[in-house]
Amino acid sequence: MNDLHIEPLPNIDDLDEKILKLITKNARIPFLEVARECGVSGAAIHQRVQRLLNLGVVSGSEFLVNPQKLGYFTCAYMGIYLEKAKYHKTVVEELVKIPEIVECHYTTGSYAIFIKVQTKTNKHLKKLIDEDLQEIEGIARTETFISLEMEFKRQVPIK
Amino acid sequence: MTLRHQLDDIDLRILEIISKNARIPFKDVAADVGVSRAAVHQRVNRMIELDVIVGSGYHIDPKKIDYKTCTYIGIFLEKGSLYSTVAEQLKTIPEIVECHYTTGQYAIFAKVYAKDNEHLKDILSDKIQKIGGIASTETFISLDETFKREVPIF
Repeated sequence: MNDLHIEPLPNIDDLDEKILKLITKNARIPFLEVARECGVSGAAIHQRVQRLLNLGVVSGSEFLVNPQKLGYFTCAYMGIYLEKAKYHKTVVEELVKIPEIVECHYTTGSYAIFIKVQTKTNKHLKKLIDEDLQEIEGIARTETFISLEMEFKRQVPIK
Repeated sequence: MTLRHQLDDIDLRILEIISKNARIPFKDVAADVGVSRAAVHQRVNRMIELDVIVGSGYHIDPKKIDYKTCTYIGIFLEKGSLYSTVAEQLKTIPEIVECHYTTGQYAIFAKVYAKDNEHLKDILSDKIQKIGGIASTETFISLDETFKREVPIF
């Protein structure tokens, strides 16, 4: 990305915000219902949603899966220390290949990279650390925080 | 308890498709998976009942609605027993989008979106650190979200 400083924010008016509030909670809500709630035509909603997609304000829709019900019982955050900062790029390229890593951030503070991992069991997590992560060249060591309970998870507030 | 054994390959294939695109017409899902449209409806409803699917939504890019600072915050408590009251208070702060009870040095680990660093400072000093029971916090700002995705379904 070449947006080194500040990317201009897209213009989002009250109607956009109202639409966002509805469609971020239920992706399959009929657009006619959204239209009725907002007091505009169905075509207008289609147009607005398309515009929000084009602007990248919404990046698509999804059914939300409960990882535990799919057998992913262990959720952990891990801080990664690199041997040298310059390994960042190559390490990230390797991390993206590990499907159990669901989130990856470049962070300030003690860790160079911060990831979120979902594994089936603690044993699976150990295997991932041992066989996948520690094998990656450039990773010096890792620190693991297992989430014993997720209190909540939600999207950013709209307005 | 895991329900994985209650889900067959068709369920998982449906899940894989609709977890990437929630507005896809079920008749397209049906064609892809090779079952009837009614079967797709039935299976989706069953997975909703089983709590495998916990909802649906359009994905917002926080940066585009002015939330430019993404931060992880490790929280130390004065006493471990204060966890549930602190967690309740954290929930009332809308900028906190995720909150976990973790092992390791922190008691609570939270993810926060703020408009900018100043807003982050306000959230930290006026909201989070005002909560009784919180001893101190450690902040990790994410300079770049390299990727974010769902758990692998298969």
